[in-house]
Amino acid sequence: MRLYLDSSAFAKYYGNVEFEKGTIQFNKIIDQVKGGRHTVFSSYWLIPEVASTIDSWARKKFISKHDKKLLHTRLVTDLLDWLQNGYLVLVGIKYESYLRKDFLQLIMDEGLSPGDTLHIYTALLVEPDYFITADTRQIEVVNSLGMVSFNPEKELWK
Amino acid sequence: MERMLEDLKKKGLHVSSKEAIESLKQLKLEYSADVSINKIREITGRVYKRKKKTLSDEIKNIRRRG
Repeated sequence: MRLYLDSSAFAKYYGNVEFEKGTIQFNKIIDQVKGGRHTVFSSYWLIPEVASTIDSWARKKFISKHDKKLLHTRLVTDLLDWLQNGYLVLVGIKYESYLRKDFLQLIMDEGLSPGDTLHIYTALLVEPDYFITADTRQIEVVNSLGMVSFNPEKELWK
Repeated sequence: MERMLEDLKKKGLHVSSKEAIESLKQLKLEYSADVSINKIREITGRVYKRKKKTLSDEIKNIRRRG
């Protein structure tokens, strides 16, 4: 199957099973991806989004500078591995798309952030079997646009 | 797979290329040795125990704040 991955779901890969909801379901999906059953698509934006979040933890002193470096190292290593093995395809939309009415409507009419919008708009073009996200607001819009969502925090992956 | 990627390119999408892999390889060179996933999960678990925050929730919060 073709799966679209939002950053909020991707971050589950780094979650501690003991504390973070949805980690077991997400790891099940990734095991199947590595077994060749699915291909994951996401926006290039995933990388800066996760990197920025790791940085915010360091700035708030939730983690040390050393831990920040470890998290960044693992992020880059995983994405490189997934890309090289064909588990992940990163997708970029044309810059002109940001000026299109259908892109801007998601921000102005649905109240989505530009980051949410970028993922949803990219997914509409990828046409995934499932849009995987842990963001409930995003799920409402994804479903209203005719895509099928999967929330690893609330559903069981088959 | 190849056909799927060609279809996406026809829609005007830029799909990950050799250049993307080379960029990540360059980034990796700047970091230290490989880090185990268990070490990463120990760090995120520690943050949750102290701050009740997960990386996933933090991504959503940062997006909402813009």
